Amino acid sequence: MSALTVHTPQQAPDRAPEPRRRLVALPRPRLRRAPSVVHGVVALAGLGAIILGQLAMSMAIGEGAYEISALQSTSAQLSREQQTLQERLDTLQSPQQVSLAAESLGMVQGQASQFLQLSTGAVLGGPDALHMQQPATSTDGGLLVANELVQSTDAAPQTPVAAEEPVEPEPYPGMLLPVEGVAPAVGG
Amino acid sequence: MPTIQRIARATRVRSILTAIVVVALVGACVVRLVDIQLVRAEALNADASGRVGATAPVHGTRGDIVDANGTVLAGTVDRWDLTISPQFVHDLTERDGLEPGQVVTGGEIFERLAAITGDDPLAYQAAVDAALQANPESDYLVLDTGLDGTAYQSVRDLQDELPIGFVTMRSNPQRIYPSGSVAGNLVGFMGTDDPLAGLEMTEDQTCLAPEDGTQTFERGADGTPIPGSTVVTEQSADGGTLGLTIDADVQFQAQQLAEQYRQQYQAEHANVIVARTDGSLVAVAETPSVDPNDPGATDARYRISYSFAQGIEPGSIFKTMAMAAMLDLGLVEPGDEMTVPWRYDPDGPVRVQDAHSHPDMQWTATGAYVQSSNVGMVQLAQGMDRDDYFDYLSGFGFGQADVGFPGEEAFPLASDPSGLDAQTQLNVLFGQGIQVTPMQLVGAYQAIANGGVRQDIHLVDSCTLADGTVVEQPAGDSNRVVSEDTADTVLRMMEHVVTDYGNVTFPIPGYRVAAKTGTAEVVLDPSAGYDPVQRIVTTAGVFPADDPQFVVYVQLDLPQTERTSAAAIPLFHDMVSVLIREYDIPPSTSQAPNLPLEWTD
Repeated sequence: MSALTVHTPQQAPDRAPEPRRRLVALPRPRLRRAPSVVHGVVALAGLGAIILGQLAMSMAIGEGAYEISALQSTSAQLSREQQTLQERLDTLQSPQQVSLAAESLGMVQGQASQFLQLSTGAVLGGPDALHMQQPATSTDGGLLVANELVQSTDAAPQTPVAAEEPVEPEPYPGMLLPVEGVAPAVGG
Repeated sequence: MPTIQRIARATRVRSILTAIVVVALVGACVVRLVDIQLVRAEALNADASGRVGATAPVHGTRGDIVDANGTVLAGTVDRWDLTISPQFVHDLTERDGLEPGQVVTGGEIFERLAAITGDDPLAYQAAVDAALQANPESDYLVLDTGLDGTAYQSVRDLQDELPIGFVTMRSNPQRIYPSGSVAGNLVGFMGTDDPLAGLEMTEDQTCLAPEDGTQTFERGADGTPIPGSTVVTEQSADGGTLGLTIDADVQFQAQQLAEQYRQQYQAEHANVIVARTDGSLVAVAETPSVDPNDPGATDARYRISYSFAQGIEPGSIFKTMAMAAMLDLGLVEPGDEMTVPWRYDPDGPVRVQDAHSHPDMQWTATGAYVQSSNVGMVQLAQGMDRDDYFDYLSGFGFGQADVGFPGEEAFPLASDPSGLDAQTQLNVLFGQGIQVTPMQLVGAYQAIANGGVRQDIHLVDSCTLADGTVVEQPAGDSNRVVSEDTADTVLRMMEHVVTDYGNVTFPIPGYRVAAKTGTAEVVLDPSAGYDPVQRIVTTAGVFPADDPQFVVYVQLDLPQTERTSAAAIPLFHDMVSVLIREYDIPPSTSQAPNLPLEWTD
């Protein structure tokens, strides 16, 4: 062999056999179809419905609030009215007013109760009459027991009732009045 | 290629700038937020609260005062103050929402308001002008107070009709007393804000007073509260209902009778006290008496309850206490016989005489008591140690104030009875030289009526709180003063006063009544001693004597047409009759006592 270096061609490194490329035509990108009008309409309609619904709801709530407010104010007004009437009633049923009204109707103090003693069958009278008639007003016309409310409120118009003749009550079974001619027995 | 790079750089710069701007904005907001919310928060809040939000009290309702049957003696009603903001008063025109061309002048508004309240519109105008003169930004002026529900509604209607946001109504509840002066002396009355007298004052904090809450609301530029912006920040609490032992029906009739008899005898004043045997009061009638609806109409000295405050030398009515003490000490028996002259004038500085001259009488102890003989009492009490006597008086409640009523007097007893001068030692046996209140006398007679056991006088039964809880008034002290035997004996002796004193109006047929009268001398001018003619006449009694239920005390001060106890007896008679009728008390069925009043050799 000669000294010639034999230039041996370097072996190319082994290469994996290239896979066979497949060239495929890209699919033609499908053009996105424009969203259909229906969808838009649905979405907008939905949005509109939600907005309208919310509006309606808040209107309803608002309406309710006004109604509550109106009712509360009516209730407050009625309770004021009730109180005003109650005040008048309290004044009208004060003892001064009652005795004034009773006197203007010609009424007088009633008799004390009488008592039936079961053991003896006697009718026991109550106390003897008071020395005073207990009118509502004194001789000078003022109330004996002052009440500014009665004096300042015009007494409810008292239609003067024609003084009726005292009617002797018809005796009836069980009545407690003494029978004529029999004085009530007094116990003690 | 260079184009692409340029674009990339520009993008980067832009995003950095954006980031810087965003960070700066957020930073500025945060700084501002911290500044407002934390650093200057207080100052800003204080600044704002006056302008937008306003705070108003929510009033709780003051509790009622009711009698034993629930009749309202004092109640609270809603009233309103009419207020105006002077700086916003102006003529109303189209700008206020009126029809074009329509004008409502300020004067017309004042006229409309005054027509509701009944005031003078010119006075309103003057007040607003004066307020503006004093302060051009004047925002609050009260035009009228105490508008009732009807007037309130009228103003509201006017507000609906005209845009007068500068007129506002402020709630200001007030007190009314539907029965007027019935128990007015006990109930007392209120000043503008605070209670001034009676139970309104003593029971204010313990029962009646409400606790006010607060509410805040926002207001518009002209001061109108914005509807729906009201927030109650603190709830109010109503006061409790005070229940008394008083019976308003009896109280009314007692006042009626007292006033009639006061007029008949031209007395300065009269009072009638009715108590049950357990010490609870049924009626404390005084006349003249204050009408709490209009306290100013009554003379200042009659605006209190003088049953608690008046000091009187009781006179003969006090002999009952001396007799009870002597009986209980065993020094005296009802039948003890003695000879009683009309004067007691031993050697020495003392002298005692009876109201009328009489020959030497052969009276028993009962007889001397029934005839109300001062000399007889002195003779009987010769063996009684005055220290013992004053112990009994203390037991009967003299020198003490039970009720704690405004103005209630105790009049302490002498601390060293044995050290009193000789005359006073005798005088205290028949109610002179000692000062007591009418209520103390009622307490003492109550002990006799209650079998010798004295219970503290009281007039408050309970307090019903707003939530319905009933707080009973704690029962007062009770103490035995004299034995039951002694109390019974005294009652029987008192019955003889009613039947044998010689006053025909005293007895009530069919009923056993025990009582004692008094005709007390009075000191009107301290330098002149006892007045020679003026008297305080009294009668105190217990009935029915066989089963005591009530103690009745009547008093007429300085009667002119009759200056003896004969003036008090008819009032006592009528008051007892009223009680019999009111409570349907049946006649007595037991025998009246028959103690000897005189003796013969």
